[in-house]
This record gives sequence, C-alpha cells and structure tokens, in this order.
Amino acid sequence: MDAFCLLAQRFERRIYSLALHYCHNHQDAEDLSQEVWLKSYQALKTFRGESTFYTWLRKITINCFLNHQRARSFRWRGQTTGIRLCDEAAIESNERLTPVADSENALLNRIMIEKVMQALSELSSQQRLIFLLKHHEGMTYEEIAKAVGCSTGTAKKSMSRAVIKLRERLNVDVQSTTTLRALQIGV
Amino acid sequence: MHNCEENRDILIALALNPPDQTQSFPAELDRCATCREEYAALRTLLRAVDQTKQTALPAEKFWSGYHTRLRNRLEKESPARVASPAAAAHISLRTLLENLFTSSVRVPLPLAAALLVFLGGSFVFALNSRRPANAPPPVVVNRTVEVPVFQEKIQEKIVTRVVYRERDRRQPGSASAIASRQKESAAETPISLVGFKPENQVKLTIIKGSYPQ
Repeated sequence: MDAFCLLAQRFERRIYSLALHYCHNHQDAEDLSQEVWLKSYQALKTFRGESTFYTWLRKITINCFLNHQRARSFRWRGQTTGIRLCDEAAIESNERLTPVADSENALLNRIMIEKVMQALSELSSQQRLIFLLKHHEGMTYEEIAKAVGCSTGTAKKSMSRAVIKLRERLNVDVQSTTTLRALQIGV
Repeated sequence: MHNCEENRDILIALALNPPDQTQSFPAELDRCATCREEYAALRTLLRAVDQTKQTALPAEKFWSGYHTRLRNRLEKESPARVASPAAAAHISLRTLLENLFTSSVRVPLPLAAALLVFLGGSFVFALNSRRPANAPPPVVVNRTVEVPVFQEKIQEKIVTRVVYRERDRRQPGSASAIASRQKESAAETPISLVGFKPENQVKLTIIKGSYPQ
C-alpha cells in the first residue's frame, strides 16, 4: 500500500490534470482520478511490465473516462451557469505562491483558464478526450484510435473538429488582446 | 490552385507538431498570408491550452489532502489486499459464492423449459415416493422358498412315410400276371429309412385310384 501510494504520488498530478481537463470540475476530477488509482491498485497484478507503468495507467484512465462517458454518471456541474474552475482557496493559495504577486496577471490567468475550460466543455466528450490524448499526452492517432475504440480516420477528424471548435469558441486571433495578454504571462 | 480550407488539416497537424530548425514550413502555406495567420492563431490556441494545463492544477496544499483521501479510499474499498489471510480467504469464498449465484449462462428456451419440467417432475416424484418419517424400518426375513421351474420338453416328431405301390390290375390267375409278379419280386429291394430326413412339413400325394377298394 505504501509503495503504491509513492507510485501514485509520482503520477497523480498528470492524471488529475487529465481528469480536470476532461470533466472541468475539481470535485469530479478528484473522484475520477481517485477511481483511476483505485482500479489500478486492484489491477496491479495484471501489470506485466510490457509497457511503462504510466502507459498502463493511462489505459486505465482512458477506460475510466469512457465508462463515465457511457454511464454519464457525473453531471456537468456549472456548465449552464458558467464554470467555476478552481475553488477559491486553491486560487488564493496559487496567487500567494506565484513569485510575481501581480493581481492583474493572476486575474488574466484565471480568465484564460476559465475561457479554455469553457471551450473544452463545449466539445463532445469524445472530441475532448481525443484532443487531450493528442495534445496533452502526445499520443499518436493510431494509439488514440486503439485506446478509444475508433478508427484512425475518426480520431483525426475528431481532433481536427475539436481544434476548429476551440478556435471558434476562444475566438483566437493573432491580434486578440485578451489571449495575447494572457499568453504573455509565463511565456 | 491554393485552397486555404483544404490545407486546414495540414495546418492543424503542423501546429500540433511545429517544424523545428531542421524542418521547413511548407512553401505553399508560407506564401499564403491567410494560412500563415491561421497557423499563428492555432499555435496561440494550443499554447493557451498548454498554459491552462500548468496553471489549472490546484495549489500544493491540496495534494496532502488528496493523498489522505486517496489512501483512505484505497483502504476502504480494497480490503482484500490489506486484510489478514483468513479474512482474505473468507472474502474470496464470498466472492466465489456471489459469482456462483449471480453468474448467468445463456440457455435456449426449449431446453430451459425441458429442464424445468424434468426438475419439477423429479421433485414431485421424490415427494410422492418419500417414506414417512415415523415409518418403522423394513423387516428382513430369511426363508427358503421353493419355486417350481418348468422345463420345456423337446417334442419328438414321429413321421411315417407311406409308400403306395401300384397294384397290378391284371387277372391274378393269368400266366402273364404270375410271370410279371415273379419278375417284380426279384427286382424289388427292401424298403429302408436310411437317408430319410424328417421335415416339419410333409407333402402327401394321394394318387387317385391307388387306394384298395
């Protein structure tokens, strides 16, 4: 158990980040990521070391996401009322930990995060999953197709549609001041 | 002829994997101002998403609580691993029993109906043939009983062969009759049953007029 917890500590942020971008809600992200750890703990015997531990873990993560997607077990909290991405305490502590305690920058950061998350939430769950696997995880279309259970062409098309939708929703333009200013932070 | 819409997928692929110093941006797209702008916008978008990935994570203090909750959940929901061997065996037995009663097998409807009828019939038969609980135990008596055994007798078949001889119709006192009778008696051989095999069916031929009047 202790060894497993140490292992979980190593990858928990990555899994949590995926879950957060997938369900854009901290509570659901925690539930989902913990479910991933629970399932991987129960299935630890089946890990034969043929792939890296993270690849195996990501497979479990994707299956958990797909199960949630099929069961529609979690509601999209805040989808209609606007996204409250981070709880106040987390944001406040983030702001305190930021080396440059610039309230304007922090606000821009927050706006950008909320805009991106809102745009991601407007994608279909399959488009969102494929986008995250491609962009965040750097998986190939063949790997994505195999993991999600679709053809490579479908994976490519979903990715393309997801990017186009995000571009439209975020109204990204080279001259877009909000995005550019937001992007200037930390670049 | 360059078509910006047709090159959108290529631009997306390029934005996802931007060309490094060794690779060059496709010349066709580089010449088109719209495509260059589209590419820049896509890169901006993906950078924004990247930045969100890093900044959206909760603060450091969140993770200690996360660990505690995860550990609690692991201990609570997977007791089989942490429990003692006896408890683990009990749990596995329980799981086995649960599986035994909850697992299902697909059976064709006629077969299922036949099985049900058979089981029902067996149950009813077992109920009817069951001895009452307070009935005395059966008494065992050792006695020799003589039972006549009938043996089938082999029936003998007696077959009689009747041989008719043609009678001499001539006058008994005539010289020719006496001469022929003497000739016949000399040639006549004694009748024997050697080589005769009895048959179940005997064909009897009656020669008309041969019987003495």
